Amino acid sequence: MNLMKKCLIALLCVALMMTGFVFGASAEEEKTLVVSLGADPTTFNPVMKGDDDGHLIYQNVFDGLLELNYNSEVIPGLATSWETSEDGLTYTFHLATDVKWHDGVDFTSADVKYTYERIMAENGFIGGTLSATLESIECPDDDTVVLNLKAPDATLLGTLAWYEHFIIPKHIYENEEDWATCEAATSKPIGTGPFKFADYQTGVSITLEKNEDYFKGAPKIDKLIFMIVPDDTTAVQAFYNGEIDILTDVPTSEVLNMQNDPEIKLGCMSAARRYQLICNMENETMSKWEVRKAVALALDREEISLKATSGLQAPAYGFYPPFLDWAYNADADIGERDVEQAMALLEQAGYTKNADGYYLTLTLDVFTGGTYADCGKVIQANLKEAGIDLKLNVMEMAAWSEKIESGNYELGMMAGYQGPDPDAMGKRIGTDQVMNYSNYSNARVDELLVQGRALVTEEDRGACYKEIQAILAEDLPIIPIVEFASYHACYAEVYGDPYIDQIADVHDGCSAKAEILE
Amino acid sequence: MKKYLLKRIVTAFGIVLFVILLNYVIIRLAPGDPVRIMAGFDNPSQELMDALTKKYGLDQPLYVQFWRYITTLFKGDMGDSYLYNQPVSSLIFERVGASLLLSGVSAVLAVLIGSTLGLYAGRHHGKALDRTFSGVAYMLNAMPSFWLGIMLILIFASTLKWLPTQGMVNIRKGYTGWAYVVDVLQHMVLPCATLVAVQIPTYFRITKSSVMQVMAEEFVTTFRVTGMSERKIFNKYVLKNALLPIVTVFGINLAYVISGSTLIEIVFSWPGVGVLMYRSISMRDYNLLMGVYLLISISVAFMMIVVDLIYAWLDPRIRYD
Repeated sequence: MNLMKKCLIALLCVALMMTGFVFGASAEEEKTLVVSLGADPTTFNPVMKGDDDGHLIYQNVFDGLLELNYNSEVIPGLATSWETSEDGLTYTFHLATDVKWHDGVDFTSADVKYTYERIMAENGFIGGTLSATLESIECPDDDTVVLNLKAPDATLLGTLAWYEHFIIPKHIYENEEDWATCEAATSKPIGTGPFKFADYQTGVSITLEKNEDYFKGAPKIDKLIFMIVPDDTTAVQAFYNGEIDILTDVPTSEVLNMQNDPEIKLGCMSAARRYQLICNMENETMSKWEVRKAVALALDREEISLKATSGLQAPAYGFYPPFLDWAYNADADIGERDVEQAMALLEQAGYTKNADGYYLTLTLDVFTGGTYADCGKVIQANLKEAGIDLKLNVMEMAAWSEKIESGNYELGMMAGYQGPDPDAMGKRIGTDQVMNYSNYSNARVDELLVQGRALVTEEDRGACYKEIQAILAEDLPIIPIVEFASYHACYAEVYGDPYIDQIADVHDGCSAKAEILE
Repeated sequence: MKKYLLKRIVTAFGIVLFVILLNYVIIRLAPGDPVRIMAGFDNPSQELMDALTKKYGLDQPLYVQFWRYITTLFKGDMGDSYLYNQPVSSLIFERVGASLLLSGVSAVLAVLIGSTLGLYAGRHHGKALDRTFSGVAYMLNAMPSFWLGIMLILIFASTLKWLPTQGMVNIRKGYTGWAYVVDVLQHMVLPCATLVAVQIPTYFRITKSSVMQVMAEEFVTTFRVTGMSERKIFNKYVLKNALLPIVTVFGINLAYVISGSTLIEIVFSWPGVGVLMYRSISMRDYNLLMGVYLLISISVAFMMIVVDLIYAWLDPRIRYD
């Protein structure tokens, strides 16, 4: 008993000490903004490979020649203006002057040339695209870069603006044989961006400090801290408790709560992405047009949107995300739900109802995360009404990806980025393309994709992509379900998240214009 | 004794080797391709994937890869992480401190509290306090740790605002010195309480049943007949005998301290090895995962030897030859 008493008293003392010892004084208040980050970045080399967590850091430390804003539109980065030659073979970029690297060295056109050449040599993230397109890179003077193309390529600007496309410092990387393990890639990145890299504590945080000499104007906040919080639920609580200022990935269930809170602002990331079913055209059942059409007709997109996403992800009917007016074909529509016709088609294909009232059984593979599994459940109920017995198979992402790629599936569901140029749809539907999980092949579509790439004006190019969408609406290798939506949240006194405040002239994850309002 | 120790070390070494082989095969049997994951899902390029496959030698036959791994391992090199392009050893080393701190303190607190309560309950079996303790222990035992963690966050951080929600330090303040220590301690309260709460039932029940078992032994009855005081019987004879099973369980728990508690580390954003292990599993970072597993198997093998030695020391009846 004595021992126990002593233990309890000791415990109480420790507890008191911890709760009591709290409010020590600290340095005078700097303007600090804390942003949530799901995981440690895997590298600080911003051009090596795709890294969603790293990308948020890169966007604040580095600049690209061009950038994408929150609506996936190309905006100026280090290049302030650019022109294309008549034949579409020469792109001339005029660079911002008086730009300095964070270590004080002048930024010049040589850095741009070096970056793209190194990316091609090392197979960086955009290496494949650049190698296929670029003939040569010239630097007529310090402020001008000329890209000579092998053939006209209207998608080039999008590639230079989209993802892991940043310009790296020649004076640092040219001395490094291994661009993955050098100091600049692991612990001391040097960029031209609005914030300088200050400190990285593994698993805890990444601290950036403002770059007073930023060529687009110094940021108004002193420190930008990315706090690593792996669990969504915990991140939400930390946001409510004031430990996080900008929450970058709000779970759907919390969005509704936050919408009712006048203190909280929300921004939606949606452009160029959407949830869609993929049909395996090499699977015996799914290769039948009647089956795909029946599935498409049996879906109640309003119900899926309402029940699986609380209405946050709008129903999607067309065959490309509608963020580009010139490329979106509103007429190539999947149409309204028609269960009767779906059943008629199945009977036409030779299916008869079994004792349980089903024509056939299909399996839908989805991965964990997002609202995929929830959508799957509503789809299951939808298809049941049309006499299709749908088995829902929820898998971990890596296992899902292997199953889908091996072609051993019937129906799958996925989203993913299809921008900034509509040519990106080619990766999913072009014959033998890297993400063509439907194993779809249509000669006319392939032809139109090549044409769309070579043409110059939006009108001409748009016609190609619109025709492709019309073909897809007929062939149905993919079936649109709902729009993509990922939410950012912050408190009313915080300004500067490009999605929340719809800031059109900065990169979509860049806090260059952030400030804390009084 | 020396011979015994030597024998145990050789066996432990063999076991660790076997575990390495087993892990190596099992990890690769799981579906999922690290190269595909590294290249990203949104817009993977074939050139990048080919380059990565070659860089990490993943195009070689499995036995060649294994041989390469094991030979570099014997040179003291656990290889590089696919994901981070850094040596596995330095990635683990950076995080092992945080795990040791949280899981170590929790393990010690749990064994102290759990066995103290167990001793009491075993001695006063059937009384009101015993029944209360036993009830609470069952309840705690049935609770998933991550759920309990979230509940504690909701109560003590979100509602009462007594403690920070998550993390190990207050990154806005960036404390140093003594204030830093206090800051870390504060951040440790909730994850530590969660871990202690879910570990207490094991110690409680083992201690309690072991005490009751020893109390029912005939030698205790004999002591009572001779008129020895209950206190003396308990402190001198029951306690010693009842301690043995606790040592075993504590030893096993300590062996896992090095890898931390994955679920709790994730719920509380604790920057330990557990989070690293979880990510390496989901991203199929084979080398990193092998490194973490290797460390766990070594520490289990090591702790088992230590436990055996403590046994010999605690119980002179045990003779090794």
